[in-house]
Formats: sequence, structure tokens, C-alpha cells
Amino acid sequence: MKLEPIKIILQYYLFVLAKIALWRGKPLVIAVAGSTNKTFTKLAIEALLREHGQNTMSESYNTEIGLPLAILGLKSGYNSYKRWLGIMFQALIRAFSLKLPKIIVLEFGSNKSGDLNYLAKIAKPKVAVITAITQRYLEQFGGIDKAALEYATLVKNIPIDGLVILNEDIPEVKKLQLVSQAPVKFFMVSDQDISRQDNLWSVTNFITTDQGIKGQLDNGQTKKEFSLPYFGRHHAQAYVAAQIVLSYIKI
Amino acid sequence: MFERTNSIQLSVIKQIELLAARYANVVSLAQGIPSFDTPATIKRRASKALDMGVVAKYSLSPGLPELRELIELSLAKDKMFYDWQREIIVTAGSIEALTATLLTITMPGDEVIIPDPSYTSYREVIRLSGCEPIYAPLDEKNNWSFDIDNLEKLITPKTKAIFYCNPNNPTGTVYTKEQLLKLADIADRHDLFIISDEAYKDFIYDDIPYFTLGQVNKYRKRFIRVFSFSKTYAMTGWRVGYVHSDASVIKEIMKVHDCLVTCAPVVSQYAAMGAIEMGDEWIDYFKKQYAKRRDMVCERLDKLSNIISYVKPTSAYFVLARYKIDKPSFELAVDILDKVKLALVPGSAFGPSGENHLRISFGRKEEDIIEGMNRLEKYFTTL
Repeated sequence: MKLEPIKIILQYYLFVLAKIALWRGKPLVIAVAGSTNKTFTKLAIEALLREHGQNTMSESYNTEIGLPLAILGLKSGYNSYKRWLGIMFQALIRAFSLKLPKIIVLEFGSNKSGDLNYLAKIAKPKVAVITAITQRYLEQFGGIDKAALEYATLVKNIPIDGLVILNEDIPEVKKLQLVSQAPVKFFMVSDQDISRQDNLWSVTNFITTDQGIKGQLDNGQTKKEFSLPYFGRHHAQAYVAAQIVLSYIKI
Repeated sequence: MFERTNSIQLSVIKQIELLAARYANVVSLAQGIPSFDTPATIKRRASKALDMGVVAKYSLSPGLPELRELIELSLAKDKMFYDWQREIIVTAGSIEALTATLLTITMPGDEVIIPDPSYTSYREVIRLSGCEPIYAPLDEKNNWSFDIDNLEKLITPKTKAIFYCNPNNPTGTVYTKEQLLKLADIADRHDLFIISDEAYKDFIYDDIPYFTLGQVNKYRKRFIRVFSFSKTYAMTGWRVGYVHSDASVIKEIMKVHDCLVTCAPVVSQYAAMGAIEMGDEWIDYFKKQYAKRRDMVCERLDKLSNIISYVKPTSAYFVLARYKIDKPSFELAVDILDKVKLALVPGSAFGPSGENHLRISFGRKEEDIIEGMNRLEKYFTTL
């Protein structure tokens, strides 16, 4: 309990410094949220950005203290006071000197109501990707509907000229379109060919081979084959979500 | 009565520990337990989960999704690509993973090839599964490497798997990429599974490269890899590890895992998340300490070169020392215990090729190692 006041001071300090860094750099913020598959989706988006010559950031911290650290490009001090002192000093320097990339991809984590709203106050996202809403931390939210409300607060934060990207395969995520003022696009992965729908990007004919996954990326207008050296449907989901982000950024 | 357990012995390591418990002032360099406590950052992660009230219920049988995601990311750092949803099971330590694996892939009467010497519990787990362990002697003169040609000759129609520990306990050696690929080729030709227990993979010294068959997609349907948090993060008491393989294999192991434990202890799964997220710097620290302790033990053994010879370990925290005395290793270990109150593991615990050896653990505290080596020196110099 003694740690709590120090944590609050640290949280506020990092909040302010991260805001300064963002105000100086004015990057386009992409928020990736969801109870699973955040990191894989962030990595997929960043991989695409790098392919298109954009710098990216590396840390996947996604909490009230972690997110400012990710923005400032600093590693956590965990429970070392000495290290935190160094981090606080570096954070001050970086807030006024760091050159942020034009586009930053941040993970927004939540294990209780209000977390995502707080993170959106630190870094106001223009694009939000919601990967999943599952049983995780349901005790803290008080049920799946309340967990969905938490993600709804993030969706509501996306401006009218932004973009909300939702996982079509999960009903609780799909329903979030109802609260969005921004345009919405959906993504899904199917083992079969599926009929095309507006605003739906899909991976169809998804298969697993000995060397990874394969499928067809269908953006509603064109189809293209792709393969990835990873295993698991979630990588296909991350890939298609990243493609939607790229189409929005238009680089 | 007790037909299944009659063929199983209580591990020799535990027998030695029980004998050692008779004395108050024993120094033990026997058990392979790290001297360190679990790092505070990891304990804090578990404590936070306790406070949040999320550990009292079972997790999903394969483990917490967020932990399996982290495991997938951690495997990817080692160039192994596995799907956390279908190819990874969090287990109650590696021994549960190995037991579940053997019960899945074998039928009673099958044979499983294990290197000799190798970790003592393998033999018992194989027997518990109703199978027969077949020893493939390692080549001591060639850095305890596989004798691949000889190993292939041991394969019969009853052989189901080749089961090894890499880095190897008790020899502290790392199998080379070339050897492992030859082994995989043999397994492929004879349609065998390969089980690799890699509990010590984070303690490889002298810049020796780490290679695992988990990096080769060609073998993923027959390669089953087991990892434990016990040694890497000083978490032996938490009982948490994992097994990963192709989805076709994991879905079968899952059935046995569910029968055995339902799920790994949930509080330990949260600790494991803390370990992956925040444990890297501790691994570096432990590794440096173990490397220093290895050199300490080797320097002391060099002074006993008239009685002892050894292959310098390049991994883990054991030296398997050969002695030039005409006495079975169990008798010698008991005699050392009785006379100078030092607990060591007789090499015979690890298979027939372990005879005439003693295993010395340098996972213990420096002061225990110094005192233990003083006692060993005293024993041999007063013979």
C-alpha cells in the first residue's frame, strides 16, 4: 500500500511527459486493443509500415505506466527504485528531444473499466483495431457486456475522419460498430471462399502448411495470395487488420 | 499388487537426499535446484494476481491465453513458430509435460531410446508408461556426444521415440546442430517421435550456439519440445512449464494433460507471465553466476586430477566427474556422505554409462560449493 502514492506520482509524471512528446511530434496514433492478439496485430502493422519505409517503435507496454514508456521509447524499471530514477530523468529529456515516427502503433490494455479511456487521454488514437473480447478479466469487468462497454469507450474516442477496425468473427466486437462515429471496417478469416460484403476485408481459403499459413486476402475489390512463416489463425487476422490500416494511411 | 509401480524406483537423487537427512551438517551438491530465490518481479506478478482474485479457479486446460501468447512470442525469439491456440500447453512443470507426452505417443511394450547418461527420471517416466527405456551410450571421449550409428542400431519395430535432454543433465553438454539434424533424419526414416527436454537451454556458456529441432518446420509433426520455468527463473517450487509441437500432436497430449492435472497451477501461470515479461535480466545474472561457479568447481577438480577426470560442462550446472577408484558410484557416494557429510549423486543414477562417475551440482551457493569441494578434497586425500 505504501507504494500507491509513489505510483500515482510516477503515473502522472509520465502522463504529462508522454503528452509533451506527442504534442511535439503529432504522430498519427493507431491503437490496438482486445483481450487477445494485440501484440501480434501490432507487430503485423509495424512490419507493414517498415516495408513501406516508415520508422516504428518497439515496446508493447500497454498499461497506464507502460503506455507512456512505450511512447517515450523507454524500458520499465520494474521494481528497482534506482532504475526508475534513471527512467524519470531520461523521460524528461526525451519528452523534449525525442523525434517520434509519423505513425505510432500502441497497444491499449485493459483489465478494468476506465483503463482504455485513460490510455486514450494519453494518446488520442485516430485508428482503433479491436481484435477480440473474451473471458479474460471478466471478474474485473463484471460480465462480457460490461467488458464490451469498455471497448466501446475506445471506439467512441475515434474521430469522424478516423477509422475503426473490428473483428467480424466475434459478435461482441462486431456490435461495437453501433457506437462508432468514425467509418468502420471489418476483418475475418475463413477456411472457405465467402461472399463479398462492403467494408469487409477477409482472408479466405485459409490453410496451414508445413511452412506456415496461406490464404487469399480479399479487400472486396481484389484478391491476392499470401503466405506467412507463422502458424495460427490469429496471424491471418493480424495480417488482414494490418492491411486495412495500411489502406487507410495510404502510404 | 502394484504391478505398474513395482518396476519404478524412487529416484537415486532422492534416495541420497533421504540418506543425507540423517546428518545435521551435510553440504549438498546433489539436487539440481538453483540456489537463488524466484526474482521479486516474478513474485510480485503472482502476488498481484492473487490480490485481483483471478487465481482461485481453474484456467483453460491448455493454460491462460495471455500466457500462451507470451510463450508464442518467446518461442519466436528463438526462431520457433508455434500457434499459441493449438500448439502450446502450459503444464505442471516439465515432468508432467513429459509424462503426458509419453502416455500419449506410446503403448505399453513400446521402447523409447534415451541417451546414457541422461536425467534419472526419464527412465522411471518411461516405465510408468509401461514402456522400456533403451540406453544409447554417449561418447564420453567425444564430449559426451551421440554415437549416431550405434543409436540407429538400437531401433526395433517397438521403438516409438528418441527422448533426450538438451543441454544434457548430468553431463552439462550441448548437442550440436549437425548431430541433432542426423538424429531427426533417423527419426524421420524410422517414423519416430523426438522428445526434447530443454530445461537448461538458457544456461549455455562460452558462446556456444543454441539450436533446437523446433526451429526446423520439416520435423514439427514428430518433434515435441518441453520447457520448464524451474531452472531458468529459479522457480522449481512453482511447478510450471510447457510443451509444444504440431497441432496434430498437441491435441492428443491435451487429453492426457487434462486427465493428469486439469490445468497447471493458475497462480504459477501468472508468475510464468511475469517471468517471460520481466525475467531476461535475471537469466543473464544467473548465467554469469553459474559460469563463475562452474570455473570454481573445475579449478578444484583439476587439483584432484590423479583421482578425477571430467569433460568441462558448457551448459546447465553439473559436472559429471569420472573417478579412478574401484568402487560402484552408489557405494562411493554413500561413503563420501558418511565420512565427510557431502551429498553427491552417483553416476549410476543416470544410466549404465554413468557408473564410475559422480555428479556435482554447481547450482548451489558459492559457500556451499567451496565447503563441498573442501570436503571432497579431504575425502580423496585421506583415502
